[in-house]
Amino acid sequence: MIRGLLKSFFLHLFIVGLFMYGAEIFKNNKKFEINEIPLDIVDISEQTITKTEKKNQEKATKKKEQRNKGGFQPPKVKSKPKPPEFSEKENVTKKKKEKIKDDKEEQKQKKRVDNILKSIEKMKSEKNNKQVAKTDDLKPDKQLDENDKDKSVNLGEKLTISEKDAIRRQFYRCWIVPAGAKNIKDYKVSIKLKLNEDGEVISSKIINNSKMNNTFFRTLAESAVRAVNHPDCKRLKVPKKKYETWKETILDFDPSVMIN
Amino acid sequence: MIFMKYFLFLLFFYPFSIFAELRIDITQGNMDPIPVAILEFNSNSKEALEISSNINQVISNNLERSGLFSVLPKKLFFNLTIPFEEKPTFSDWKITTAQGLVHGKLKIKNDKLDIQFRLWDVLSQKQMVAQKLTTEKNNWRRIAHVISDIIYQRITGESGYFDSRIVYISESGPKSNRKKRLAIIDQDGANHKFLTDGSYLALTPRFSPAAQEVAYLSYNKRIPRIFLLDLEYWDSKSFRRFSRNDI
Repeated sequence: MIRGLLKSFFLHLFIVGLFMYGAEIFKNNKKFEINEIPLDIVDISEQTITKTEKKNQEKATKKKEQRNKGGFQPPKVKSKPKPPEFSEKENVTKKKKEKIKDDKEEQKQKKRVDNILKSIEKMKSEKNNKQVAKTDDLKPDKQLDENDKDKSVNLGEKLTISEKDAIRRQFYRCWIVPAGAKNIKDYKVSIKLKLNEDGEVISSKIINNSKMNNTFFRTLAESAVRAVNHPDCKRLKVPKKKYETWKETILDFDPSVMIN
Repeated sequence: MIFMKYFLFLLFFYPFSIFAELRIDITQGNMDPIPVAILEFNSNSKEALEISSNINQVISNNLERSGLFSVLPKKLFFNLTIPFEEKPTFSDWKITTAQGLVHGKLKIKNDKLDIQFRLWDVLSQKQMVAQKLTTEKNNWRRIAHVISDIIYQRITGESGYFDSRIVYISESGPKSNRKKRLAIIDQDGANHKFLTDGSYLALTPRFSPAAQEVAYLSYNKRIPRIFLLDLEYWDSKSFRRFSRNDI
């Protein structure tokens, strides 16, 4: 009885395991491919602050600081006050002195904060200038980097759609599609890349090289290899923390969408 | 045994997806012309140097005119010559954004041109094609077209069209006395020649698919006839006349 139960249990486990493993195999088959819908899941904090709100807040704090600068600046003392005539006045002047001291300390602190804010602004403006100099494609990279900082990524985690799109966008510039070649839309070239931790291509190999005798396939394959070796695409824009995911990447160069 | 069972149990639930390689479809590229650097062929004599320069110009014009290539200006090049037997320093050429590099050598022996050239894929650092061609000295333009065809075919996959000629009917003169002459021209507009003198009407020229011959309809002496003109022996005027039965 127990043996039978055990047998059936392990048999069931085996079938479940086989299905899990098999499901991965089916992935290469287009019939079982599920079209991915671009959707990013982002953790939302308890209080949501939009970018515009953040900016407004920052502006408001800056304005306040500026006001404080102007409003709380004590007048410079040109001459020392005369010795106190009454004891009450003494107390008042002591209190005033203390106040002035406190104000001075506050001012110092505010100055420091101002300086730090200014330096951060400088940094930001420099970054912005650099970004303007580069192409628009770099914008998602910044986002990626920010995402890297925010999220802790586990091993084997897949790339998000936006990360994949960043790679696609990168190759848009590098891949010159041989538009003149006949029937090129019927072919697809798969190149396996090995990447180092910086995202640089160490080696590239055409996987489906059986059709290399066909001149049009060869033309397409060569154009794809040129794209991979292009200086702008030699280093892929990938999130460093997900190295395990992209250390071996297969790129499928498919001109059919473009030509149709 | 129990350990084995546990191991198998865990194995079944292990996420195999982490072994799956990342696969990305690249479906969008650009259709920009391919940047190519074409160097003048190495030569010793003055005459060879001049011919080399002319050939370079014709190849550049051909490829540029096709719209699929952009020939890079020489001011971008670090080296204006590369020894034919040596591999180019690809890092220098990558900076120029060139993806293809053409260089070669040219010699003149007994009024015959002897040309060897190589086409390199700069980014893949591989030789794409290397050929040797010989021809008459006067035929340098033709050989430039042939080299253009080889480069075009190797990079785009399509056969080139540069070594081709166009036969057409040239019309001139006033309406009352219109002259229609048979003419031939290279695809780049060079080597223009009239094949008939205009004393009679010539119409509908057709190139032979195999030989260097042109068939056309002529109204010489007001009788419509089809003539076959041999382009190679044009000077000897070797016409073949069809009889009415042939038509």
